[in-house]
Amino acid sequence: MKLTLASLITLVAGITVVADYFVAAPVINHAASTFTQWSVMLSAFSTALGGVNLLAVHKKRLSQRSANWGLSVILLASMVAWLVIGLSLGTESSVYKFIWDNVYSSLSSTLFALNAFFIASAAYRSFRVKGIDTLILLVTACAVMLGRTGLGEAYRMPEIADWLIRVPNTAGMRGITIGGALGAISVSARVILGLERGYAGERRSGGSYQ
Amino acid sequence: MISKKLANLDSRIVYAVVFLSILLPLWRPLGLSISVSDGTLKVHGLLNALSQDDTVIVSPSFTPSTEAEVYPQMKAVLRHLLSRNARIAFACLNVESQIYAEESMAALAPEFGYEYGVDYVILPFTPGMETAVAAISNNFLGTYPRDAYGTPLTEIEAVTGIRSVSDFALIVDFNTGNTAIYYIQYANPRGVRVVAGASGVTVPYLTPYLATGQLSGLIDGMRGAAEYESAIGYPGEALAAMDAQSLSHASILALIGLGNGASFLSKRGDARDAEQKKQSYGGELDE
Repeated sequence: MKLTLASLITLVAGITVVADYFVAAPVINHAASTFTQWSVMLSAFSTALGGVNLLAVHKKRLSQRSANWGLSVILLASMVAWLVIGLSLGTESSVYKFIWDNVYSSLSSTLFALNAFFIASAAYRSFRVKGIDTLILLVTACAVMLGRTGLGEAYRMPEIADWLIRVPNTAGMRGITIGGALGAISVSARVILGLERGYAGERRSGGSYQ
Repeated sequence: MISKKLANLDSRIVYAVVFLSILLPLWRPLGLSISVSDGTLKVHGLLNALSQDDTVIVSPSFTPSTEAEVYPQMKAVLRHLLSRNARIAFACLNVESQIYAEESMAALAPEFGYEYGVDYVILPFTPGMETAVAAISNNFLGTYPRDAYGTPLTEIEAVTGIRSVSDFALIVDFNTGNTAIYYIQYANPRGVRVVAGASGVTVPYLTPYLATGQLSGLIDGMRGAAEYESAIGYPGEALAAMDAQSLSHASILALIGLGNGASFLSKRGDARDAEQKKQSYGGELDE
């Protein structure tokens, strides 16, 4: 019953939203608009659900004294503290801004910035010419990197880099995008038609659907 | 032997080289000049064509991890928008978006005499990314009955006359993911132009849309931010940071060259040693 109801809701919502793109009928357009509004509420709900789930998972790790349970303490303390500060003092408060600027923003930027060092080290060790393929890759990468700097201006590197991004990259990306879109269409069609019901908790059994 | 040592260079030396190549230009700028790319010029041209009555959606859809690249783009574009007296509605698709909108406007609004509610509005965080953009495009006022501070949107002068997403003159999305693509998919078919500012790694995903015209302009990474600052004649933090990016890229390229050279010499040395060993064993056998 639960699966049938979920499939029915998916069928109606899916067909209405798809039809909205092709049909200019006020009833369908209004219904599709309502469904998309609901989806925003569902997203908000799923965010809250994610928070609750995170709390439950780390509470369990803490109570069981699992490996690295100290990290769970830090996570839970940070999560609760920031939530309380945000809700009680507001996101414009100086305390909230202090945590944002000096903890969250700094840590995020630092972690991402570390990539520069790891990439440099990895490139030094692994980016070696072993054949024509790697040579093409190396020359292309060097051209694009130089094109993103002020050093390559004299040798028209920005133009070369722009061409590489605009032509060969675009051709490749188009292929990937179209392939991905075709896959998404087929999966969506299966979901709308009720052939794929994993989202509703259905489990595969012996390679066939229950 | 040196080639072997170089081929297996200690990571800490590589880190030190990259660190110094970033630090030194920040301490002593090189002042390298840069040209303005076509994608940046397109964004600049579209913003230049805006009139005072136009309202623009600015969507800060990036996170602190890519702030160094994308935030300077947003600041430069906002400076241009404010100089054009355009009205702005900030759409917040990330939890972080509102902070970026507040912070940037707190810095720029006094300089241009912008007032919250009259000239710009910050819309509340809308979760869901793709579904949020679909909702904004389908029913703007239904998605945003109030601004981020609870004031009904109907009472906000900055969005007077806005009934749907089609009433906006332009959407400017600053992203590190797919949000610009969502705006292209949902808002662009409703007649509103979309331009984007993106981090360097996101750009290859967006160029197919630039080629088709679905994306009307694209600011590419830190260089794009510097280009935009150059285009509006206001050198800011991106132009200052470009030297560090240029030198760090150059240092990585030099390291790649060095690694390849060392690897090549090391392999040649190994082959020569093997040949010599073979020859000496062959000689012993002959004796």
